[in-house]
Amino acid sequence: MLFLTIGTQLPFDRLVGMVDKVNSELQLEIEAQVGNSKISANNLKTVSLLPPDEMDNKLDSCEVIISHAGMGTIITAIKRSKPIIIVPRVAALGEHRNDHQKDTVDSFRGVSGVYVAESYEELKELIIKRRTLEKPKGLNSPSIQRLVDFIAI
Amino acid sequence: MKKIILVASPGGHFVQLSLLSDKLVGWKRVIIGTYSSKPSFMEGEKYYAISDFSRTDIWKSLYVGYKSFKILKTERPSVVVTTGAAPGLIFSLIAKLYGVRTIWIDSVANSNKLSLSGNLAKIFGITVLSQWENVCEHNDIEYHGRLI
Repeated sequence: MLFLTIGTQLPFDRLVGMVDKVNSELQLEIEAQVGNSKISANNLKTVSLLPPDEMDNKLDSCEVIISHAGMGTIITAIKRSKPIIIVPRVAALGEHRNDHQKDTVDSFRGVSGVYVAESYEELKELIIKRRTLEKPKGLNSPSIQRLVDFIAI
Repeated sequence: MKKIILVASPGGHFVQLSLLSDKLVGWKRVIIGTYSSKPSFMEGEKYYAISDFSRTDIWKSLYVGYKSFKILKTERPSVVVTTGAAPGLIFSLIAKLYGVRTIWIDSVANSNKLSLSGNLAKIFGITVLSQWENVCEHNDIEYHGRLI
């Protein structure tokens, strides 16, 4: 199962629509928390808002998370070692007040397990390649401990 | 208990800092950000909000500088760590002047070269680290691991 979340605060019709369109072809099992997005998605199992416990279950049981570039979800994915595909909201399309999600995706480009899609084609390709996506290395890597040790000198 | 101040701009900078904060259990963590209140994913015992600014509204740096000084005077940390960007630079400059050990961890986004702010921090004698070994080599700085 793939799990799509667009956060809880703002709709993100473009992302829901893109994933729905990809799935009209691929016909995968995709569940989605779509908040107050207006678009109807015929190829996704949608729910408006999941209670926190159920949300946790979905995040645990899915293969890959697809998400808006919200920090909370990205951190959750890294902590759970789930590959995540992030799509930034664009202010010019009315998807957010500003383009900070663009900065967020730029920060995570090249980070293991975090994949950026900025177009329909990129998103589709990543969903097709879902089984080969790397897992985030998590937060217990020796490299972070090394940094903590340096700070603690 | 050792006290650390962690400061960063919103978005990716703050997220990277939160990964560090998670690992600093046993420290008193004073968090400084530009959110009106501390986001739940950031672990910490105390939170201060400062104004965000960039090159286009640089005048705000004066206010951030003043506030940074007041926070340092109140908290007296043993270390200050920032992941950038502009407010982190101002805070770390004041901390350095104040005589506190100050560490700049350049964002993981800068995989080929040091950020402009990171370069400035280096010029001012702040300990600058990159999360990329190649960037460390090019800039003659030490590599001490990475956050992600």
